[in-house]
Order: sequence, then C-alpha cells, then structure tokens
Amino acid sequence: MHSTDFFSDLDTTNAAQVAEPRVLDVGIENGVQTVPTPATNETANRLMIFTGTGICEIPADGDGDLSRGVVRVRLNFPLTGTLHFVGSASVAALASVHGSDDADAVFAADAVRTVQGPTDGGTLDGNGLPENDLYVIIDAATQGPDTILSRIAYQANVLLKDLEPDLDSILVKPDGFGVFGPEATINAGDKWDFEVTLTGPVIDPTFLILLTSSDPAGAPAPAATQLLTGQSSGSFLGGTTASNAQPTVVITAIGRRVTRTATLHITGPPR
Amino acid sequence: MADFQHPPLVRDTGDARHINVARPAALTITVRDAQQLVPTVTMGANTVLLFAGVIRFGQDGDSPGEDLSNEANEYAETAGDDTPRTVFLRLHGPAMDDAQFLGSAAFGAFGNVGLTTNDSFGAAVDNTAVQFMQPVEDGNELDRDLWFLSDINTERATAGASEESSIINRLAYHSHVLTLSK
Repeated sequence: MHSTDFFSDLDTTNAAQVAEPRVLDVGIENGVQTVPTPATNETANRLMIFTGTGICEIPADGDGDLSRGVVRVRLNFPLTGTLHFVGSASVAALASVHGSDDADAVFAADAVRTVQGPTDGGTLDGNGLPENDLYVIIDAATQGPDTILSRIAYQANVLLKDLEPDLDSILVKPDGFGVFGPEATINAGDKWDFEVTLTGPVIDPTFLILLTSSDPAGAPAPAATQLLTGQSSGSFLGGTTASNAQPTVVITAIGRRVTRTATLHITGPPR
Repeated sequence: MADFQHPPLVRDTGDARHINVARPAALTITVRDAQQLVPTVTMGANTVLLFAGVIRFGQDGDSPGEDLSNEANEYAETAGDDTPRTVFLRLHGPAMDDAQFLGSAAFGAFGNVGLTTNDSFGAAVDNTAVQFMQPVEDGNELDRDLWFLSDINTERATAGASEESSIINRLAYHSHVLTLSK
C-alpha cells in the first residue's frame, strides 16, 4: 500500500519533469521474472531499459513530521495487443536534495516498481492516465521544516513478449526458374525474384518490409513489399536488371527491427 | 546552461591507483538485436555493454562530512562554492568508431553524500548520460572513448561558524551502451 501525503506525476516527454530520458530495446532469447515467485509463465523476447532522472521537487509539509508519498513516472511506451508485459526489475535512488534550515532532515526513495497501468493494481488514483502505458512507481519520503526532495534517478528493466514476428530472411533467384537462395546469378537485362520469410505469421493487418538496392539504377528493387495477416512468407518480382548494372548488387530488406541482405551477381556484356 | 557544460571533473575507471572508482565492472553481451528508441537512433546494434561502479571524489579534510578514505585532491572534491561540475568518467570501452556507437542509457545517484545542516544545504546529481566523445579540459583533448557524464552540485552553507559545504563523496553509476560490433 502506498502512502500519499504527496503525489508527483512526471512524464518522460516533458524535459522539465525528467532529465535525459532514454529507452533501449534489446532482443533476447528468453526472459522470465523469477522474483517474486512464482516465476512468470510467459517468456519474454524483449528487454526494455528505461533511464532518467525525475525532477519531482517535493517540499516537506512543514509540520516537522515525515511525509511519505509517491513519485510516478509515465514512460510513454504504450503496450499494444501484441506486446505483453511479462515482468520488471527497477531501481531508484536519491539524486538531488535540498534544505534551508538547521533542523534534522530525512530524504528517502524507499521502494520502486515498474508496472503496466497508473494505479499499481488499484492502489493509486489513475488520475486519467492511460492504462496501457508503463509507469515507474516510487515510494518516497521527506522530513524537515524546509526540505525539498528535488530529483530521483531511476532505471527500469522491463521484460516484454512481442508476439509480432520480424523478418527472418530474404532470398533471391532469377525470375521464373531456379531455387531461392542468399545469392543468385542474373543475366544483365533479365528480371529477378525475391522471397521474404518472417519468424512467424503476421498478426497485425500488414507487415511492411522496406527494400533497397546497392545499385538502384542497374538493379532497381521495389521500395517495399508487405505480407498480410496469417502469412509468414511470400515471393515477389524484384525488378529488371540493366545492361550496365554493377557486377555485384546487394539487396537489403528491413523488417521491424531486423535487417537482412541477399546478393545478385549480374553477368552479361562487359561494361 | 545546457547539459554537461560545467567545469569538468575527470575520473577514470582505469586509473592506476584504483582510487577513482570503487569496484568498476563492465560486461559485454552479444544480443539478437538492439536499438535506442528515445531519442531515436534508426541503426540497430548487436552488442550491449554494461558498466557499473561507484565514482569516488576527492577530499581535503576540512569538513566533517568528507569520506577520508577518498584521495586528498581538491580538484576532485565536489564541495565547492556552489559551483556545478560535470563529471567525466572514462569507461574504457572497446575500440570503435563513431558509427558503431548506437545508443546508451545511464543511471546515476548518490552513493555517499555528506550534508551540512547548519542552515542551507543540498547536493545534486542532476542528470546522467553516456557519450562516445573526446572531452576537452583546459584546452587539452582527452582520449576518445565512452564517457559517463553527470552534472553535479553541492551547496555551501550561508551561515554558521565555518560555512561548510555539503559534499558528494561517491556517485553510483550503471550504464548500458549499444554498439555494432564488426
């Protein structure tokens, strides 16, 4: 249960409320939260790292008694239907304190956890904040006739399960014959095909794959292609090579987070 | 003033006397993919570097809040005349070029702080970051490397017998760095 002698709502998108906010997104093989027990059933494939320094500027209430309250930091990372919260481990500590009286003073960052939703299981007022976002909830305290708990630094490590697939491979071959592979030999002036494969079937309505060619004039590639719900692979016409194409052309496919390449070897009349 | 523009206070995880940082540690982790989302860096990384430890500052023995096990070094003392400093901690990352540094996230907070309470007092670790950079101190270019940065400050009391200053003796840090290893 949280004490709420004071309540400070901070937002990472507001530079006056959080200094130097950072978000890192790391692909992992397998993550579970093991403490508190029991371990989570769902396994995570993403580790999110959120850091920053919350500028809470909480004054003591002036009556000399200890004030205990909450600093809540909205991380602005909304979870969609295909992105599940698995668990978290967080740390918060004092970063800036101030006083202007010679009496004893107390400053505290007593506990912290990172949760989905602003109420921490219904123990806090949601204050109209969105339920699908992530929040760092810090139990803090200050005491003294003229003290200010100015800043608290935090780091939240959050495990997520991302059900949406990502790009697994792009393969190429001459148009109309042959077998898809990571490399293909194409006669100059001929067309080429490509096949993209995902790590699993598409859940959202579409999965967009961006494409680029290292020789856009000699071996142009379509700007993008897409797979639809339920599809996990698809083959498409790449384009037509030119007689003056570079002998080696790299085709790059960009998925959600992953980039894969395939190579065309262009043969034909000497340039 | 913009972040990390105060007079530098340089520390080094590899200092020969092992007195700049308590228990410095670094991990190198190969990952499937990684990206900095805020602020956005479009290029993906394949390696996460973790750096952790506790920065130790200087002391000159004139204040009761000082950690006397820290080095006697007024340059590295955080108790000043309300003068903010920017801590530059050299992390000794792997050899790389600018394009391989793809993001970072840093945590820093008090590790050991002495507060004078004879009237006004305070101490601050205002912000933290890690940058791949070549800092300049007094016109001298330091080594290009990964550097943990933090703006810190302490307040000097305005009354009392000695007008003592609060002092940050140690600053705990933990940083993640994303790189593209070749």
